[in-house]
Amino acid sequence: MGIVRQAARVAWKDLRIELRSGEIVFTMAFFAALLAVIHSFVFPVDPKLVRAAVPGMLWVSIAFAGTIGLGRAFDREREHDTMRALLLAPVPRVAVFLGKTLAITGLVLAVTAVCVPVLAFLLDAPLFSEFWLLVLVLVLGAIGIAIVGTVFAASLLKVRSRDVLLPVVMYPLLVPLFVAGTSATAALIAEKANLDRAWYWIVFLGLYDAAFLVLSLWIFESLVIE
Amino acid sequence: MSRFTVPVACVLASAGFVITMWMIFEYAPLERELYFNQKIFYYHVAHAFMLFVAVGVCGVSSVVFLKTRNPRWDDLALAAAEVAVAFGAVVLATGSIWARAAWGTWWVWETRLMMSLLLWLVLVAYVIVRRFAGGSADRLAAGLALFGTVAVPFIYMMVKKSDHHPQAGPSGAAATLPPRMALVMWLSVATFLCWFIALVVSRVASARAERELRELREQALDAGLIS
Amino acid sequence: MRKLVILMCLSMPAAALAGPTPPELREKCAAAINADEDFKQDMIKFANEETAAKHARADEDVQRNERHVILGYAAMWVIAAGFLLFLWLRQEGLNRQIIALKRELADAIKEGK
Repeated sequence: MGIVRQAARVAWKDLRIELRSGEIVFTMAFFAALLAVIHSFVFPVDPKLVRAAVPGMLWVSIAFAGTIGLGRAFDREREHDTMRALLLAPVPRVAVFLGKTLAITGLVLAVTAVCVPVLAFLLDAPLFSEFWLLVLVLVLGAIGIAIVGTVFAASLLKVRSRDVLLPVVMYPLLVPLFVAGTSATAALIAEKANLDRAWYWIVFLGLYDAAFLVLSLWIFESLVIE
Repeated sequence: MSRFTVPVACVLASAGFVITMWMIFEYAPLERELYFNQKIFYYHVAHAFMLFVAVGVCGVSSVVFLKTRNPRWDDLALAAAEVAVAFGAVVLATGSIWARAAWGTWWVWETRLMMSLLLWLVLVAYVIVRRFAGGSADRLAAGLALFGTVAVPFIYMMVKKSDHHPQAGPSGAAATLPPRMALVMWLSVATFLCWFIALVVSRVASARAERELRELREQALDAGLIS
Repeated sequence: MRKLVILMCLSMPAAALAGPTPPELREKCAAAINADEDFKQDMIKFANEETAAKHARADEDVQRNERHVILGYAAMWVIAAGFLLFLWLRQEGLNRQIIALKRELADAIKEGK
């Protein structure tokens, strides 16, 4: 119980800073919208191809914008050396990790909340036909990105070339997540929604998140020791 | 230990090279459907086995390093990862040449090829981190190796299920091999195991020497002996 | 006579469809073909040509495959050699650093005295 409350505190601290300045959410959301617009230009927008192309565009936008927001969110901790204060706080490291993951999940979800309508609007994509299942897929994807991203962004904090190294480290590990997310989205927006296939990938995403969450809880402490 | 292991493993490996080369081209029967191009198989599979062995070694020694903080385990993980990158490059190169010979394309979305590629990408990321992440690279890379090991079953599930690419190629090649072919294959696996051990042990020795050199230099700097 | 043989040969698939081919039927057909010397020679020639063509195709395949096999093994050796070169260069760099450190230490000790 204690850990959950402490984690919520950490997450609330991050989100409150963000709500005050809005720096990350606005820049990330604008960047994601830009990506969606660029995608709608560089790929053929033949109405027949939209259903096949939109899942990829959506997840590439989420991946890129998410990485940028992640880097910025941890930069903020580095600038004022507040990460050390956070790690020295009399709470378990695990709580810090969970709180950070929650906050990052919120940021990534904010990005998707911009991406989905923009893509649906620009490409006339049927993204809202299975709305709640799509939300489930996006939430699970955001949690996975946040878990892997938090672990590696936190341990890259002191490294000079962290901006390039973060995607280099994250993307190979996130390939299964991106493929699962893309396949699930594709199954949901297909001409005739293939719910069996979508559920397979949703379960896949759930297992992926669970496995990496357990691993991160186990390993986070030894990765960020000063 | 490395003083002994490396020469012995090298001698065994070179004997194995000669023997397996002769066996592959003279002793092993010609495959009925793939004909001559199946001869790539023996070394290709041996390298793939070693790739997975190396990933396992890297993952396990990373866990031990993170829990014990003994830098010797870190040396082993780094050595295994670098050797695995080399072996993985061989797997991908021979695999795609074989695909070209047997199926007419350089690359197919085939379960084992894709798995090797994704694993190889994780390993390349590991080596890049070691090279460019500076002081805390060892812990970061250990975390990456651990995450990569956990990702393996997911990569497998993902590639197996993936819908937008057809499956191609023979499956279960090793399971139904005629005895002569199986003998040659396992001999080449043994050969490359020796070769792998020789490479890893000498790489570990070099990593350890590098670390000790760094520590000595720091000590000398602290003592004011050098500037 | 020949018409009869052809008819019999044609009827064989039908017999095969009806059930397992009776070996006597096959023997009868072969005997009928062998009875006609021209037909027999034609059949032998045809069979030989077919075999020769198969061999030629297989030979072509083997040669094309051989190029790929050589390419495959070459790729393996090149990568192995590249890795060994990398290891060797690393070791050389290390040796150089050790020598430099030793010299610096020796200089420092000399100055100290």
